[in-house]
Amino acid sequence: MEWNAFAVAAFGLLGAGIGMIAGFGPGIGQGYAAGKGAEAVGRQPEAQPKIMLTMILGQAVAETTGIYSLIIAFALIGLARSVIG
Amino acid sequence: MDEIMRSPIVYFNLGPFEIDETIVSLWVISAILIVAGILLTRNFKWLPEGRQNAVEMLVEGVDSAVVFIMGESRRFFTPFIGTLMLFIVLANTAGVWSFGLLRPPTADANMTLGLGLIVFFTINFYNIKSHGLWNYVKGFFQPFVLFLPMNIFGELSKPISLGFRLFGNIFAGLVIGGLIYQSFPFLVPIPIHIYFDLFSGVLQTAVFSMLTMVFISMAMD
Repeated sequence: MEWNAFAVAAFGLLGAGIGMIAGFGPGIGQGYAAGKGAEAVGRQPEAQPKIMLTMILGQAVAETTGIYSLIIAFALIGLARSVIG
Repeated sequence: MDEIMRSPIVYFNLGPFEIDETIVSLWVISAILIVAGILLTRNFKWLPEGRQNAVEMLVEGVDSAVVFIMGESRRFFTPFIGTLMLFIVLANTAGVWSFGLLRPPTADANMTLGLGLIVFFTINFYNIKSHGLWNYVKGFFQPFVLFLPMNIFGELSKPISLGFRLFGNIFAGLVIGGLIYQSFPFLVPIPIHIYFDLFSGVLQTAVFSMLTMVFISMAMD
């Protein structure tokens, strides 16, 4: 394999791995939301369904950035694979 | 790895269009929705029973969600939101109810970005309709002129983020499911299917329709 193709593939795969560091953010955010949700249920157990709905919706939106980095990682893996052929 | 992260297989060409798995899945889903819509709503009675009860429960559920989020005066969005919900939930869980015959059409960015475009045009149409064209254009220069590029990007990012959120979740579920099938083909994929296909599919439907409702109400306020 010539050097250029090797470099593109190697750095593409490395970039995919590094990009997934973005998983940190949604993880922290979702954990925070879940903790607050647990607190809210402890304070008002009768409002549990509403709290649950709000919490899961917020978490799903917070997950978005992580999903974006996942798409980027997939794209980079696809690039690396197409170069290796 | 190649067969897991593959793009949809193209079955045949129809003039300039490639008929691939996504389009075939969409045809099947449309057919199911149309046939169910005709069969389930025939000869309704004043006193509901059986199948009519189920249909009314579904409509009332969507209607109460629309009233809860958008308010009583925007109740006429119930058909639009309900159609979006039914369509997306069938599309997200296509791999489950077809026993793996269909590829979920929402695992194709073209389809989800198309849905995002529908929402985008709806938002802007109702923005113009409720504020008038002049106020709509003026809204892009709020709070002052220099905010024009920022407002345009903010408006354009709505369909893109809606589309890519749906696509990313379903496609990631597909890829992770494929990886698990490769390493543990027996019993282990069942909870993975329940989480990624059923739970995540229904949740992303709720997220998509809820964000659509919020965006439309924000545009009309």
